[in-house]
Amino acid sequence: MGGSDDNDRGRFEALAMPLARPLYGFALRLTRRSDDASDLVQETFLRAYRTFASFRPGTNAKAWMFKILHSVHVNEAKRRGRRPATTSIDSAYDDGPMEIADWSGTADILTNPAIDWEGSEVEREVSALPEEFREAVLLVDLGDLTYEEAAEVAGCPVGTIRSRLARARRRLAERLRNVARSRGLVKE
Amino acid sequence: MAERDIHPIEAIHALADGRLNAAEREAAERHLETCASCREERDVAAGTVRVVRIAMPDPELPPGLATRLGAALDEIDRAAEPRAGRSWSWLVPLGAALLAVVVLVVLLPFGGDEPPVGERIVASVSSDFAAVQAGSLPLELPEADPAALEAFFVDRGIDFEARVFDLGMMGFNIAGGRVEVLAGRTSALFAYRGPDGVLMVCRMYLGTLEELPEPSRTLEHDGIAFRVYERDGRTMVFWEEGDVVCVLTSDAPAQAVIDLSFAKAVKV
Repeated sequence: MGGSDDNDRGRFEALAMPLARPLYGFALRLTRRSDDASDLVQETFLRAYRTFASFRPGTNAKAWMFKILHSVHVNEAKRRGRRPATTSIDSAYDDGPMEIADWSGTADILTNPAIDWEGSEVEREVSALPEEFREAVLLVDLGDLTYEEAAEVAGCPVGTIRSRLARARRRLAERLRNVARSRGLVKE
Repeated sequence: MAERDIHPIEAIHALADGRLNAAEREAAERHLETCASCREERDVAAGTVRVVRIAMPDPELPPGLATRLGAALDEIDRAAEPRAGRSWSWLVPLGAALLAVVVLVVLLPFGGDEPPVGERIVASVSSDFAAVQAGSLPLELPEADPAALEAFFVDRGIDFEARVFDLGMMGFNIAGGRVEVLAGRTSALFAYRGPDGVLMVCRMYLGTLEELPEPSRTLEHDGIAFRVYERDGRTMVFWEEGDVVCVLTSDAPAQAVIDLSFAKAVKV
């Protein structure tokens, strides 16, 4: 429990403060508003500090705090009526088998160090993904959580995270390829 | 055979992440040896992650947020140390008369008889179970599904995540829920009926295990601590999920209540 113990406060800050930026990034990409993201991070810190005794040293503090942040976000969204009351295990987006795609030239575009990707355009394309897909990308590709940790944060089975991640990246790759082509970065 | 069985797309992405176990990795790599399309899929997966990581670094914190975070923690610390010496110092200017009043209030008998909050929580959880069983604590939304019940709690002002368990696979169906005060705190209460009409009541509220009294048993499962109380023929199993305390209560055999708790608890 957070409280008056100076050691607790010190240990908490040593653990949590370096995570403030990734937490804020996650919050900003979930809420899309700086003010909301700041409030979300603050609430996350408060809850984490109050329940610091429940954190097990040696486990991933980032996953622990992402889980708290995600939980606060989902509850707030529910309160505002912005999201279904539960996160579906098998969302509509997860339906159907994935078929092999024609990725001709796409890997070259995505791995070409000469292409200078603008943050805003990549942010826009990630932001356009369905929420559950976006979460998977934010947690695993950006947050660097394991599939298991991401599943805990998102409240779904590990297999669902794996599926969402593959589907999210495929959509994203297609969109990024289109961006590169529309900017004339690659020849048809 | 379905297309996904022919081309293991998800496994290819997991392979690109280096997150397959040895057997899966071997199978995926064997597939890649003969499938150019999946080799391309792997490269696209890796390339997409590369672009996202390069183009989307963590943003800078807004000015003042770090200060706000520190101030918020200070607030918690201040609230947690009401008896520190510096907290009493503000009383000095008010004089001995006011101090006397304070002392009198502290010594008044009505405050001293109340049991500790943890004891009241356990007692209320137990007696509320009996009230639900007797029908004197009526439930709303009978036969709702978990999503409907979660939405109900949000509508009723529950400001934490009241995760309604789906116990259908274990033969327990939702009998309804209500918002009920528990030792001065708002709590979500929902009930299940299981085989032979067995009643199982779940309660969620903001709190900690630490404030509860000494349990009959302390257990640990999957890294989660559980406190078990056995009173009046009922078993209550408490555990924490973040800052929410969950408790399952039933007059079913104790082990059944414990097993259900183990099955539904999520480490936060």
